[in-house]
Amino acid sequence: MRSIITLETKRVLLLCALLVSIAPLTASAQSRGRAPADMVLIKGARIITMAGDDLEMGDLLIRKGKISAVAQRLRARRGVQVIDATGKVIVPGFVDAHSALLLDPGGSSGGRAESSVLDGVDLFAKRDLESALSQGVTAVHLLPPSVSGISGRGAVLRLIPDASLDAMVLEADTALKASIGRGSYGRPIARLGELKSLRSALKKAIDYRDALETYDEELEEYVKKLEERAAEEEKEKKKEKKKDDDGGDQKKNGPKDTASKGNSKPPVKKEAAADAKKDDKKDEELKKPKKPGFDARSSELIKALEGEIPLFVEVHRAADIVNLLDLVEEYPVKLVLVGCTEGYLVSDAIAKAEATVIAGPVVRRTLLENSEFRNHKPHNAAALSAAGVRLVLASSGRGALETRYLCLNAAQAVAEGLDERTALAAITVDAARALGVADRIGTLEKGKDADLVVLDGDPLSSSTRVERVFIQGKEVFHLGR
Amino acid sequence: MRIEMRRKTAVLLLLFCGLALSAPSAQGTPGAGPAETLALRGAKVFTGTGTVHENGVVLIRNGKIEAVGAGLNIPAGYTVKDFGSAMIAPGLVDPDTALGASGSNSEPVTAVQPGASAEDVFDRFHEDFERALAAGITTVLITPSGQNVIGGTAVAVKTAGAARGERIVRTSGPLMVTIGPSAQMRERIPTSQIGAVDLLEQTLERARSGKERSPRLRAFARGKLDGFFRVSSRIEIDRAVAIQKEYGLRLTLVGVGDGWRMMGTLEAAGLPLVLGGYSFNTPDRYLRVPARAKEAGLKIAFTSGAPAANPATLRTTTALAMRHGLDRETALKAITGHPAEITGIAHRVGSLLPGKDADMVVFSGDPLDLSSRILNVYVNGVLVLAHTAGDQQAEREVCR
Repeated sequence: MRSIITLETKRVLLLCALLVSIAPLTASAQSRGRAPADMVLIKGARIITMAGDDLEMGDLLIRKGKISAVAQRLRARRGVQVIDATGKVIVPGFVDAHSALLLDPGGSSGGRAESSVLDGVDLFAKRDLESALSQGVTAVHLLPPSVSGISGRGAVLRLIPDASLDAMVLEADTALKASIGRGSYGRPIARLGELKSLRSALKKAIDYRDALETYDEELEEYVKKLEERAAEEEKEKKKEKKKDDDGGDQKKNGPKDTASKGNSKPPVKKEAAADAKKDDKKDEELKKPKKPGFDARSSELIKALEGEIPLFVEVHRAADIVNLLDLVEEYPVKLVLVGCTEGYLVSDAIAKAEATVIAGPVVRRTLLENSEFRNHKPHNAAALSAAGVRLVLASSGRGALETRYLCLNAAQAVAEGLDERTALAAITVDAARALGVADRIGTLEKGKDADLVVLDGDPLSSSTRVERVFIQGKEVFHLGR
Repeated sequence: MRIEMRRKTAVLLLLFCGLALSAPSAQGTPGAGPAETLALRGAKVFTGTGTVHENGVVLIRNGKIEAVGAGLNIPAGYTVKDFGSAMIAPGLVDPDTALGASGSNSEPVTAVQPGASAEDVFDRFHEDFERALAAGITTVLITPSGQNVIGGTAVAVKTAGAARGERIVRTSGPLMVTIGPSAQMRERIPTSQIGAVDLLEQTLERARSGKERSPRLRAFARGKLDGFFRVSSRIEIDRAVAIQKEYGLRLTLVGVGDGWRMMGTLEAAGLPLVLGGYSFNTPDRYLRVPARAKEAGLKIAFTSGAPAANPATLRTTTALAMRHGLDRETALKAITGHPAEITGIAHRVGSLLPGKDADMVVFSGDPLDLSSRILNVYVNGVLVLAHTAGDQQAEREVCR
């Protein structure tokens, strides 16, 4: 982390120097009332907007990093950079909803609920990043490793080469990651234990929230009482002062004593006994409430329970999925199932629970893996979609480079019966939706970020090549350059 | 799909009047036995030699291809299957697998085993073959593993068929040669790279001078028996190329891991390459090798790496090579015609030409696109795998 900071500092300094040096230039360009540098017009392409119909021969205008227009025919202002994309296809940048890009492959040790995956990002894996860009992937969702239990928070990064981590973060805290089954393969009791610990973590979080609420109430009460008492004392003081004034020379340092010691009794009078009793009671009531000790995991889970952050649970076996759905019914969180290898066996239950599924690879490279994947079927994604489940296709956060071929993975799902448009949505707009960033990426519409890909053919075809990639309107990849 | 096919069959019935009356009944019982005469029609027929017939027809007689062409007239009496918009390609050929090998396919106690044959571990009932068929692979080369310097000969077999004799396409296939770490062991010679090269050269020297008893080795040393040389590192590639030149061996280089930084050497050697299997996690530098090798004029074939890898990796490998610049024509050849040529079985499989075995795969679209589904697989003119059409479950049934 330290090295990243120093690098960042250097970069900031460099940027400052650069800004100072080009400041006069920018000013003059603005004074002429044109900013062609940040305007790009891509003309004549088939535009797959993923928001309504495709445009067969469409133009797309990028302005200040955003899409400013998508239409059949746009006229270029003078000085705007025009790219002829006749015969090309434009799609939104692909979004990998569960990626291991830029994450240390050895990072399988446990995280904690309060940790963020951003602390594990390796910006020096530049070649991997460029490799993913060259296949049209513009954003990745990084999740903490799949260890048993709750392992931390995820984040969406834009794949901007040579940028600081801050510049790359599209959205932090996109998910609270948990996992069931990965650590207990072949041990049914351990499997149930994992579920139970998730359940008790949720219960504990609710207890913690209740305790915090009780504390807040008590504290409020306490403060109120304190104020009341202060007011009363003030009143008494005044009364006494008056009495003192009346009584002439009978001076005392009583009030001072009361303030400093608190427990010292007022001067003994004839009703002394009764008064003392009353005072004791008052003191008891004014005990300061004790604040519950800070519980980081519960704090994160409370956010999930209040719908602020979705719970992403990596789960593969049908029995685990069903148990998890039951659990969520009890503790309402926004649930996203990650992996979901045996989802096809319980697709109706998943659809009924309205959980989103981020499915892993359609075709597995090896057939004999550990038992979490033993019932893997290539038609899983197609079956889930047919049952009405909100489906996202991802690389599954295993090998860093697997992120590259989202579109080939989608093509394999199509071969198994998934609708072609659904498959494309599953790596663009639906992925963005599942990650809560659909207001910025995932479609080619006016106002969205200009994160897009220019292809020389159908996005799902094997022979298609990525020609150009733009992120926030800036060209970040150009084939052959 | 089936309904659609039936409708098309009905249209054909009208066209051919009563001639094709047997079509619907034949369709109902796939794989009942080798059809005497069969005609398949598809939107495209890829011959595997670079030719594509639009609205192509394949005529099959007694398990062999009789004729292939665009809009051929189908003679009377042929069972006609019209696949509509689907496309027909040759059955895929994987030239380096251990599919259907029962147990270990090498004997690592002795490093030179010219007499060993993978034929002896070929289990024709092995479930691996169903997976291979589901991936469109109809012929595989079962190769001895790389644990010996001379690992014995490979065997080329079909992935479907009842009789053992019918399954075997070539018995004494290429001789396997390895000098890399996998052939070096602590318990026997060679224990090192230098020892492995020395042992290979001594063996070849003896074979060339007639002192070697094994006829296979004598044939190999004189360039009369082909060999598969498993290479990975730069030094292995370098030595393999040098030894090939010195002895005039007929060699194919298999694996070729470091090939991406040896393109000059490979181009000069001009040997065919067996590459793959690639996965989505394979770095770009490897994925660019097929296109570069093609540019260099080298013949390339792909392997899936099955059964360690899923046989479906064969098509994935091809797609990945295409994503890195390999053209469609070469890509299809690399999983059909080229592996058949490299393994010496091109007279039987790898292309849809008259006289060849009727091994075919029917794809829902272009065979090279991963979005295309494998609908039917034929081996020797017999339907051996049919996709049960129309259901999301995409269950596959294997007809034997």
